[in-house]
Amino acid sequence: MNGATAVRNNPILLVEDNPDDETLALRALEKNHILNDVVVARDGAEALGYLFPEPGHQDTMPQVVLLDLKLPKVDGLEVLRRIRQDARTRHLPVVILTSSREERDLVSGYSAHANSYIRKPIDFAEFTEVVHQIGLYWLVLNETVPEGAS
Amino acid sequence: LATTAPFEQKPREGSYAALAPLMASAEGGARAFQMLSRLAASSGGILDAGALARLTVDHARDLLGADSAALYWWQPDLEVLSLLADNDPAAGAHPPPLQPVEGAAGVAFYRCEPLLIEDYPAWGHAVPWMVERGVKAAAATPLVVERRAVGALVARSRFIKAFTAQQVETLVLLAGQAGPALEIARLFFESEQRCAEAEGLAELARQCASDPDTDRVVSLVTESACRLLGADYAGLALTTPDGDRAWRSVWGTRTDAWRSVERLRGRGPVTRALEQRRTIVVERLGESADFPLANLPLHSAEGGRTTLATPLFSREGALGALVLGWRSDVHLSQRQVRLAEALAGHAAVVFDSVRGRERLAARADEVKKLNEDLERRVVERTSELAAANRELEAFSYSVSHDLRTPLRSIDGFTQVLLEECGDRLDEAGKNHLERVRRATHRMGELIDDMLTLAKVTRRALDREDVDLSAIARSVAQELHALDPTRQIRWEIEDGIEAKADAKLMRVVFENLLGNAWKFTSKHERAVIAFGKAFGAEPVAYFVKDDGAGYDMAYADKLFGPFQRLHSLGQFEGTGVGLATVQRIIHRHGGRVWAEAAPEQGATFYFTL
Repeated sequence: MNGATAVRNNPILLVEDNPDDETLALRALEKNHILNDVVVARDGAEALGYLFPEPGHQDTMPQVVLLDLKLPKVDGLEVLRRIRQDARTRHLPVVILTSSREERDLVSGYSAHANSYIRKPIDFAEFTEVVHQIGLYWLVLNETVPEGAS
Repeated sequence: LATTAPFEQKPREGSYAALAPLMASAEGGARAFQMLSRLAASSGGILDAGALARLTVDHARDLLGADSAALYWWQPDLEVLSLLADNDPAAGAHPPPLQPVEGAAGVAFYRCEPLLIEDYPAWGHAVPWMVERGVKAAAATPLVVERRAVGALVARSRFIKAFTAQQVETLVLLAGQAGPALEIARLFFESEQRCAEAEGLAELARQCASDPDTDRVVSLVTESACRLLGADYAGLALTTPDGDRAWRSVWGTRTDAWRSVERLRGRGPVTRALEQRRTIVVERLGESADFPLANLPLHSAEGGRTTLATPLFSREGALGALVLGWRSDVHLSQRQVRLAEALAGHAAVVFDSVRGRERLAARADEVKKLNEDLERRVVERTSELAAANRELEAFSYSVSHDLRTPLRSIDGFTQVLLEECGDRLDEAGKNHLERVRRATHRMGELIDDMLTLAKVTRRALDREDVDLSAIARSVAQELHALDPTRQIRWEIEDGIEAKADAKLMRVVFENLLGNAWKFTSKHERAVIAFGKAFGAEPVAYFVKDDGAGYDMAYADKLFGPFQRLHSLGQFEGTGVGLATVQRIIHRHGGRVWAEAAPEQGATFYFTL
């Protein structure tokens, strides 16, 4: 993989409750030489806790959020809505990465202003390719709003 | 008897000259003159025929010094002379009518000339009951109007040779006064009666037009019949749907016999009237051998003496009969019979329309109930269907999310195993793991196809004008992109349009063209076609290939879900595609079928 992937070092926030999927996702990232830190949130509440920390704790904003929809406690759509409601995270790139491509999920995902919607392929080789594309696009090609701008 | 035309007045010389000798007797003349002028004066304003007749007979008795006098009136339809007035106290309440040649009145009427009978009992035309009353002499004269006899006036005495020729002439004069006056009264009465009848019929029509029910019509008809025909009681026997007849209503009856009789016995005038389709009149009830009183429980309970039964017919047949009863002996004129028939005819028309209306209303009620039932069932089914759809959707949603997740793990970790431990596995081991991965992929495809099938079922149908040719071309391009090296000639007919759901039709083409693409894959060259079947009604479309085809013996399994006619080794597939196609076509109200033979290609037809 090309070395440009490491240019920006903000972490990737992976919101994923299934440990198998987590392992496979991390492996796919690794295989694609994506060297960003990966923060894993295992449910919606954890994701929100990371994005909106207690005063005094300042976490680094992720460069991209990979968000599953079916999550314990707070589901993915709700997490997305909160992200879009808050000025600090309004422009944060959020990629929905989930099992389903039910019309209902697609419509509500885009309605809540997801930047992208990707269905996890069953084939691990395909999944690795998907992760490669995500990395290339969101970590390298895509320009985001600079921090502090609104 | 004279053989000249009966009832017609012959020219009489000096009928007025005959007054002279009468007048010559000063006393008699004065008395006669006085009486006549009094009669003329007093009768001038009288329009009641009965009163006029009574006045006339009293004058006749007094003028002639007779014991009694009587006045008969000719009933043309009955051809009898009926008694209008008789001042003989011995005359009964209902005296019998006279035949035209019976008695002094009858002969005077028939011959249309005055008559003097000096010895009544010895006279050849004497009426026995008059002889019994002690009549010994009689003088009679016809009542003449327009030169025709319309009745007769007779004076009687218990003494032989009681009357002179002069007295007969006095009677003639009196009759000359009385005849026209009576005719005027009669005409007046008749016109009044006709007015009353016409009014009665009009009133009945008006009442019947105001939407009455059967019971109301029955009471209107029986009431009108009693009033217009002077009957004492009336009833309507209506046929019931099972062919029996039952009294629906009675008017003016005194006994409960009518109410208690629900079914007619079928031996009375009603049955006869219905059988013979004509009006039956029975006079002197109880004396008639035709209708013994035992067969007429209602009339005998009422004390009826005369009855009339006339049938009610409509287009559908006998509706029943109108029955009238009189407690006295009456002679029903043809006019009265016709009036009764008119009433019955009127009633039949009204009943016909009332029954028709009732039937219509009942049918409308039925239809309304059926509709309500249907609507209720539609609502029930709709909500059941909606519930089923919600369940299916929840199920699909869950399948979509949860069933695929473990497959990813299986495939993912198999891959990890191959990558990390591949060097420790022999070829057989690696092959086993590859099989695990293939099975996983297949399971993934199955899940996706099942979800599509479910979606096809619950999706609302959105019909619009759809360019089927364009969809077919677009799907063909996608298939071509899958393997551009394959040599396939696509023959897609241009401009085929239909009213259909575009998204679902795309699924149809993905499956049908996809199958064609798949089953021609073993052939070096292939032709896949889409078009409109020539001359089919309704319009049928086809997708045709020249690939592997299949054995029509298994055609019944073709459209069942998870049915496959080829082994997986030959062609891949889940067996859900054609089930999905069939579901979509059925949802469009269409039909799908196939024609094929092994290695000779397959053609799928569908209508929309």
